[in-house]
Amino acid sequence: MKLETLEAAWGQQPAPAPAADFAILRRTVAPELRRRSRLLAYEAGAYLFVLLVYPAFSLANFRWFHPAHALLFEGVVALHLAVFLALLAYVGRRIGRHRALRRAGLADVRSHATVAAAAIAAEMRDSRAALALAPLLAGLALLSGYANHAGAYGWRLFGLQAGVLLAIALPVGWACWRHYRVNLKPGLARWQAVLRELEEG
Amino acid sequence: MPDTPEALFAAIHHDYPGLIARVVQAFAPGPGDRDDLFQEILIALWQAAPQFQDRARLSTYVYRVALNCALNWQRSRRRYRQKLELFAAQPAEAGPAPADDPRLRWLYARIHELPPVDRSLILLSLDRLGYDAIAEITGLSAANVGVRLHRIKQRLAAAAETFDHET
Repeated sequence: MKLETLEAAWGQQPAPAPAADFAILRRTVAPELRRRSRLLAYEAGAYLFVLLVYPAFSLANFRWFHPAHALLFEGVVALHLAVFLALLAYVGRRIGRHRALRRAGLADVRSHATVAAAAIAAEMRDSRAALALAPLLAGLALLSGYANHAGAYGWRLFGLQAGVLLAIALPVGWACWRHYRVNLKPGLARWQAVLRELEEG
Repeated sequence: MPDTPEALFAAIHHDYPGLIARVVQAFAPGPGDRDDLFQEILIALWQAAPQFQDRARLSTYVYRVALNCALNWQRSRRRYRQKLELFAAQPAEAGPAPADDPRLRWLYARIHELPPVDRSLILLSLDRLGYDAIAEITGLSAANVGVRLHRIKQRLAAAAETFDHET
């Protein structure tokens, strides 16, 4: 068979009939849009919560508990400030990436692929950094607990803190690792393959 | 041109169902996959409608959004199940049915074997878009589009010669 015959058959294929009623179409798309908006709102809410609660807890900690060692106290304050600024930077970058991706959906395929690959690569970098920093953050929390509580309340409270920290950090770390392996890594490979194909002559 | 995003989306869905269906069939082979990608593209078009400015032809714009969405699409079993449930409640808006014509089924199968960018190029070419329009959609130069399409069509023509033996 000749390619021209196939091209002619392609041109004659019937188009599916659109929904007769626009309300049906709206009902089809609206639940998924609502679900996505809800997820986005949950994520934004979680970031807002962390950004508000972290400094509030830090301030309360420094206000009401008396550190055992003054030098340790100053070091912990500086580390808490650094962690908060890092969190702020991460949230800012994430919002920027989300907006860039929304805009790139309207752009040509090459621009979209470039932005999408860069966004996934940046998210992977952030995830790796978060996983690498996790022991440091856990150490900071324990150091903070030790500096403020151990002298006054003994090791039992310190142990409880360490337990709570592990109970939160382990599932969150596992979820991040799974997201990295299941979504981010294959996603980046897919966009890199598209970009390679676009670069080929 | 429609003056509200909602009206624009309705116009796109009314005027370009064939375009969306062809993109879906070229990128999603299975029936469940087709429903999934079809809905993804509708959602992408819905979300993109407010940003549409009359700087390009509407069909070019729809192709860009649909192809970007198709390239980004990845089947997810969980989401796929959720959407099947959704479509079961809304049968009027399920994805396109597979082509009846065996020649078209064969052609879609060959298109699906191509790498994603080549797949997009041949899809646009079969829809009779010119090199300049394809270049605008893909971000390639018109000359590059011409060279690539020539190569893809040569491969398809060679494969088409075996069509009679396969059927």
